[in-house]
Amino acid sequence: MAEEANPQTKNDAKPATNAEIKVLEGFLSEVVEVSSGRTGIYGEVKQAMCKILEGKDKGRVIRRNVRGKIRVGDMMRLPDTSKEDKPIRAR
Amino acid sequence: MIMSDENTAVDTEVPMVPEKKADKKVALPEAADTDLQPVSPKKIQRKSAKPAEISSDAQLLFGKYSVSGLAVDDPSLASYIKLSKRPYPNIFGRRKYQAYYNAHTDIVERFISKLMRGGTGKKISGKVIRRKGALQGKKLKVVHMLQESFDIINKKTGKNPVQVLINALQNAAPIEDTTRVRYGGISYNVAVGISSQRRLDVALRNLALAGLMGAFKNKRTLSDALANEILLAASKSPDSYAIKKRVEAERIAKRAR
Repeated sequence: MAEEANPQTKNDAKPATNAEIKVLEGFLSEVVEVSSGRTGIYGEVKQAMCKILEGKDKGRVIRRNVRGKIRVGDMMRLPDTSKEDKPIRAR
Repeated sequence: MIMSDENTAVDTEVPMVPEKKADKKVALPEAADTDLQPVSPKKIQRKSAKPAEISSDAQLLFGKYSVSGLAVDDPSLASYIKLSKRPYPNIFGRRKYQAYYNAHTDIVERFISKLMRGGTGKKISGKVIRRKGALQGKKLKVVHMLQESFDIINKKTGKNPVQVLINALQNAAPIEDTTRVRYGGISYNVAVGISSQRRLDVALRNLALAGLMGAFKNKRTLSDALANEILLAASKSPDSYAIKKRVEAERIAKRAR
């Protein structure tokens, strides 16, 4: 029973002082409009107009390719605000 | 008249009950007292005792952890993280065919249903789900297991485990993903954004999968492995499987912009 009580391995959780990893923070944006069609070769991608709420491009509205279920009024995180997407051509 | 006072006191404790029903409940015994003989004391005790028991523990998760007053830092995920005031978060799939079912369901219930899956080996890494498995179709078994792992988290950190789970989800949810595109027989990766519901889906799936993989062919119990993974993801540690997956997906997407 003593062995079962201590199944500690090297992957055990360390305290919060552990080295943190860098991940993308992104910019907040709000979905203003969702296009009716779908793009992508499997039809998995939708296009949405996003109004940017943070950063230097605040107030701009850009078109973005989005994966997953989305509707008007959602908040979304964009990794960068500079580029504007074209629809992916389906074959 | 004493009985009516008790009833009012009980009803004020429960905010979930609407006011109209409470008025009716109070009004009935008053009429009975004036017109007819008083009701026997045994019945009064039963009626007054039942709602008092429910009000104490019904709004806490597993009867222990409070759900109100938790903070979600990311406003994009906040609208999709729902928490219901129930001891066992289960609505038995009643709203399954409504639109945006996943957006309205409790986040703990969604996590439970992600854990109800067949076992996966380390080599498969979640790509193949077997039809038979120890946890498929066994919701209660998973609920008890999750309760144990929440107890472990609470014992180690002293925090509310629901808050720790929410922090882990926020850290494990990727922002950017890739799709495959073919031009002339050669396939490329193209970066696309992810909607906030899918971000949560991916984070929940990876956390659940890491728990299953941690306990696979190992002495460590499933609840212990799951608690370990949630704690690692909540502290943004690079040892966490879910955070490794997020960083990998974002690295590929950044290259394909």
